[in-house]
Amino acid sequence: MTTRFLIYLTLLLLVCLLGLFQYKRLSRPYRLLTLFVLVTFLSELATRYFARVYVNSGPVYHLYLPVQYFFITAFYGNLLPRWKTALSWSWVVFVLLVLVNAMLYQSPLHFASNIILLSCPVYILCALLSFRNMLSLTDERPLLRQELFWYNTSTLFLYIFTFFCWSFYNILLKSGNTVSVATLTTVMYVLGLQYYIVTGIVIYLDARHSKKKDEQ
Amino acid sequence: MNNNISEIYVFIIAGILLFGILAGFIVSFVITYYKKQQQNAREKHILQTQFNEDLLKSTIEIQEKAFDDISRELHDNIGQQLSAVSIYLNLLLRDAAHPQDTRLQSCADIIGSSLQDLRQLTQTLLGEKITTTGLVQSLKLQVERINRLGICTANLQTNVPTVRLNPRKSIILFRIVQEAISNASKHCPGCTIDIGIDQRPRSLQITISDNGPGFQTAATQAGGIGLINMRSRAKTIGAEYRLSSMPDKGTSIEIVVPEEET
Repeated sequence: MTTRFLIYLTLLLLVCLLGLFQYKRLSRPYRLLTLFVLVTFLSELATRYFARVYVNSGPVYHLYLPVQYFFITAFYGNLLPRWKTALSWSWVVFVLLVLVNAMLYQSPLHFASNIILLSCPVYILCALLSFRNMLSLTDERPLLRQELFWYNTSTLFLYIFTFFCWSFYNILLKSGNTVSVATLTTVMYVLGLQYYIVTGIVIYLDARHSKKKDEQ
Repeated sequence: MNNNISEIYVFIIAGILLFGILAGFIVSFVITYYKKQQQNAREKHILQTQFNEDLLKSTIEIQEKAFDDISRELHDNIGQQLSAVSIYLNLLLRDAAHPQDTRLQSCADIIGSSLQDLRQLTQTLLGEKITTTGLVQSLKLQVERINRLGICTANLQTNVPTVRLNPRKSIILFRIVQEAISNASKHCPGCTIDIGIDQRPRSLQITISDNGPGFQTAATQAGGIGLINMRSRAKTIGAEYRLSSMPDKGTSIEIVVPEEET
């Protein structure tokens, strides 16, 4: 287990614990987010186990990516009631596409990068719709203290760059450019770290907001 | 190797461009959001002010309705009963064995005086009466009533016999003066209250001042219900309200109704 991975796991565990300690205080979307971080933590542990025992962690990602899709779209579905039905139906379509990809393009033993490329536009769209929704339902709180602003920003950055990196990644792998592949991996690692740090802040902000509302 | 380096350059440039676009988007969102927040705050403030004004108008209307009801009740019920007692007393006086009995005469006088007070009180309570009688005349009656009651000494000075005001404003200005007199008589019984009506070319100015103990305006301005009422009433008719008072220097209230508001 590399130091980089240990830092990543520790961060996930801390965010997860923060969410679980504040769970009762959190609003529904942020409870989903906490569960999502918990699932991510467990899946990351599972990837290590699979890598050590079966020398392949591919199957974990084939299972994890639909679960991730479920949690993120459920999070936005709670915040965007008009899009809830469409996002719920998209789960069915997404699962079907995951199955088709596993059967025809990337078997469970391969990394499911197609699924990542497929899910990113949906997450980006959700974040943009949420930004638009924020403009129509402005909160009195300063924007920089609003959890949703930070989460949307973080989601936008992570998934736009993930999409960008994976698009390059596949091309670079084919051309055998190992230097660039390493750079891309580092970029994605850093993006992942920023995403989970912001998620921790977001959970804290939501808990604090709920506490203030209760006190009022 | 060259191909690898050029691919890294492409990646870095594309990444920087993407980052710039994203950062630009977030900055423009923050600016738009702040503008929207400010606009909402302004709209909320306008709505709140409108609501407060409507609430104040309703309160004043309800108060006027209550005054009217009390006035009619006093006139139709107690007034009629006192009139009946007065008639009976006069009959008693006529048929009495000793018509010179001063006790019966005193009773008749007291009842007569009470009836007169009651009539004036009903007039000052009835908004309709204030508008038909006119502001200046109504204030004269009020001053007479105060002087007769003997709690305070009131004087009215005016440079015009009548003022041109719409009925609603007349009633509200009358109520402000009534409130000021009531405050003065409550806090300094026996003081002198001077009421001035000054019709100016572009405004109407009403001043109510007394030689009472006065108070620190800074300490009382926010709290006193009477003062708040006067200020609120003045605001509803677009009049300017000024209060000045100092300990041992008396109190003065100035109401200025601009021409377009009269």
